[in-house]
Amino acid sequence: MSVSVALIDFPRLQEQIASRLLAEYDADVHRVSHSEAAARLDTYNLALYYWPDTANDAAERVQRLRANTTAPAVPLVIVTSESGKRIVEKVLPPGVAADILVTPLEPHVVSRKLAVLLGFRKEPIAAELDLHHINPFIEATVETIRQMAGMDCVCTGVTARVDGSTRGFISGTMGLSGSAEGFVALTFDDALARKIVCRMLQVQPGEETEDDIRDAVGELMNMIAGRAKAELINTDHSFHLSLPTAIVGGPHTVGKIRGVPVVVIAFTAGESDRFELMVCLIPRRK
Amino acid sequence: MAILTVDDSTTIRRIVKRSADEVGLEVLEAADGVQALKIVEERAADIQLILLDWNMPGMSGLDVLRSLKNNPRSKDIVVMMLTSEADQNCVVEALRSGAQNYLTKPFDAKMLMLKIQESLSLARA
Repeated sequence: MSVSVALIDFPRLQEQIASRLLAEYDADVHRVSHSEAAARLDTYNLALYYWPDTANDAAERVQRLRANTTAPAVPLVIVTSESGKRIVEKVLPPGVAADILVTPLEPHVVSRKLAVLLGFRKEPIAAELDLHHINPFIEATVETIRQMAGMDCVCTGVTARVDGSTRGFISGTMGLSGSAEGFVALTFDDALARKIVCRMLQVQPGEETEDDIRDAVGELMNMIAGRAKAELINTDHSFHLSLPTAIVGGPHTVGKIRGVPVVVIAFTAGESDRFELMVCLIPRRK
Repeated sequence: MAILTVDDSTTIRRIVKRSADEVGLEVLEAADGVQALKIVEERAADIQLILLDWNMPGMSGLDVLRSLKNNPRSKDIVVMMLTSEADQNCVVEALRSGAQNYLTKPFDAKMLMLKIQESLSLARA
């Protein structure tokens, strides 16, 4: 089965290089404009977006692309220069892009990443990525952050990764088992984790300790999983709670189940703080 | 008089302590079930209310609850579950096992305070 790949806003030279690299995967390559891609992103297995490092509106354009699609799980890979990558990492919310490829494209790096992304997408989408169990986690996250830290947050996008890798600094994570099995992880950067912990404990910034942060992030994960669990009871995705743990230091990987995508839910808290929740949960075979 | 908060999370114990301070009660802390039962054994007469987590290392909160309710020294202490276990089956199981109140995490400070006061009035009744 060939896979369909969109090259969005690619200059001719970069298109030729990318097409050559994609040829080994029997990929059906389409060079499309932003508006063409926005109209039918869900028809592709993979989308590569060329991000010129001088474009001020690139972040907005990428997010618009993602917002328009009815298939949020189509992996979107940013292709840009080294300086563009720094801008992408700064301005693009976590979870919007599945990966970043830096120009000049190095064949062995690109091949390795494409193999993972395309191998993952070759499976039937509907069976592979059922998103019905995701809403309880989104609602639980919004409610938990609001009640425990007094901060409003909104979900800004849902994407997929092949594993639980993250660029965040700290993750509260929990293994799940029951009718479904997998893991969940709540990831913050250092500054947002400290801000939330200070609000939970009602201490001044700087009074929080590393132990406080680890414990509070783990406990937030516990609360989110508990609330989602109650909503998913009597479904194929029901699970039991386990004890949460925290992983500190970034980037890190919280887990992986071979062949099972990790759903990444991106959130914005307060004015512009970003964080993400990863959910990898698959019903046990009966 | 005292409140005993039993939770493996220091964050939760600190939040509970802040609320309990407002009602002027001493706060005793336990990070697991074994520690909790030991404190109860030593201080049962002083403890008015126990706030009990469900999922903890070692003994579960439900096991601790059953142990408390089977012990003549502690069976009359009011127990409020404070837990992430939010499904109705858990609530029913805890209440059947002798818990007098149940608050699910996440919670806001006002709700915690209200539930503590409600539980204390049960203890004083």
